[in-house]
Amino acid sequence: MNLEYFCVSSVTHANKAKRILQQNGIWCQMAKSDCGLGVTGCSYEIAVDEAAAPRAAWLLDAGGVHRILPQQGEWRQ
Amino acid sequence: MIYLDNAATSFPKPLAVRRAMARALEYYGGNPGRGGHVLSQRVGEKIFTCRENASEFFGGWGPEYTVFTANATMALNMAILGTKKPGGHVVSTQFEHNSVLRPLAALERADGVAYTLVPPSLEDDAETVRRVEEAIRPNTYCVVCTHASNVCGRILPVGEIAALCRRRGLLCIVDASQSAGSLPIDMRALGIDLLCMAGHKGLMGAGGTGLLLLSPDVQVAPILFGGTGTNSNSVQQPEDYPERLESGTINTHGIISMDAGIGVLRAAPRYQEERRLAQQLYQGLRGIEKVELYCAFDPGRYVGIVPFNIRGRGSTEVANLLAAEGICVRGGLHCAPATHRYFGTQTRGMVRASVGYYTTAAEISSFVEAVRRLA
Repeated sequence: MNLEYFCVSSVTHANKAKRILQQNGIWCQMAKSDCGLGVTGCSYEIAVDEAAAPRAAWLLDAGGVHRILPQQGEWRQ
Repeated sequence: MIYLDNAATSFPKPLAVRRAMARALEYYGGNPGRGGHVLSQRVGEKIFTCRENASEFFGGWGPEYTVFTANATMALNMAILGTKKPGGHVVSTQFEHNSVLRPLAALERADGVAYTLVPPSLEDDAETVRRVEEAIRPNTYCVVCTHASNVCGRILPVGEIAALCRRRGLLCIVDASQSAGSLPIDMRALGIDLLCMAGHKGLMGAGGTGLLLLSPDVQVAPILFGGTGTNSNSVQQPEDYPERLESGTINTHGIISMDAGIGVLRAAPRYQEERRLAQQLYQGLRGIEKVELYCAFDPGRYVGIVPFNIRGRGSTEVANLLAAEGICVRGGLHCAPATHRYFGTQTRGMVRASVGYYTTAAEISSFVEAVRRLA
C-alpha cells in the first residue's frame, strides 16, 4: 500500500481527523515525530492509502480539521 | 460522617470515577501530544474523547473548543484576562467568587479596565437583567456572570444576560462552577461565549481539574506560554485551540476522572433530587428558632446550597462545632466577599451547607437535628 500523508496542526486535530476517517471507513494511521520533524516536517501526520486520499481530503476539510502545509517533501496538500 | 460541603468539592467520588482514575494511572501512562509511540497516542485519543464528551454534555462547539484547565479559577483567569480590552469596562455581579473579582481588580490596576458589580435581585430575574443592562457603558465590552452563587446558591438568568450581550455586542463569560453537574447547561442554546467551571465539584472529578469551553467566534489570548507538542521550532504560541491555551503537560489522570464523572451524570442525573434535598434542609432549618436564613429556598431558583447562621454564634464557631460531630460544612466568607456584603455578613460570614450527588434524606435529617442541638 502506498501512503499519502496529511499534515494537521495538533494532536486534537489529528484525533479529530482519525475519528472522521474511521467513521467513514477509511483506514488511517496517526504518526507524530516530535517537534515538527516528521516525514512531512510537521508535528502530526495522518497516513492514508493513496487510493483513498482524495475522499479523505474532502472529508477532513468538510469536518473542519485544520490541515496545514507540509514543511518538506511533496505530500498531499 | 455527614458531608455537606459539596460546594467546595464533591465527596465521595463515584466508584466509576475512582476506577477510571486508577485505570488511567495504569493504562494511560503516556503524555498526550508529546510523542508518536503507542502510550502517547493512546492517551491522546482518550483525551480527545474526553473533550468530545465534555463538549457534548455542555452544548459546546466541539473538542477543539474544549480547553482543560487546572480549576475554575484558571479557566476564569484565562477567559477574563485573555479577552481584555485595556481602557474598557466590564459588568459583573456581587455574587462573584474571588476567581472573578481578583482578575477584574488586576485588570483595573494593570490595564485601566473599570468594572461594575451589579446587585442581583433574589426575587426577580428580569430585574437582575435590567440592572446589568443599566450598568452597560459605551466602553463596556464584556459581562462576567456566575450561573449560581457559591454562597447562597441563587441561579442567575444567564440565558437572558447572554441574549442581552448578543443584542449589545458584548462578550458573555459565565462561571458555572456551582451549576455544572447540578443544572443542565447548553452553552450554545444559552448563547454563552465562554463557559468556565471546576471539574471536581458537581462533575465529581478529581481535584486539579477544570474546563473552559469557548465559542469559535471568540479570540482568547493565552496567559500561559510554553510547550504544546507542536511547532516546536517556533517561539510563538500556536494559533489553534485548544493547544493554544494548554501549555505544559495536562492533568490526564484528573481529566479522565472528570470524564467518568460526566459519564455518571449523563447516565443518571440527580438535578431534581439534589434540590429537593436542599429544600428539605431549608425547611428543617427554618423550624429552628435561633437559625437565621438569608434566602427563601426555591428549587426552581437555587442549586443545592443553604447558608445560615445561629443567633449569638459565629459562623466558623458553628462550623467547627459541627465538625467535632463529624459534619462537614463551611463557615466564613467562601472567597466571595462581595456576596457577603450583599447579605450584610461580611464580618460574621455564614455557615454554608451544600448537598451533592450522594447526599441522602436521612443525612439531612441528622444534620438538622445537630444544628437544633447547637441553637
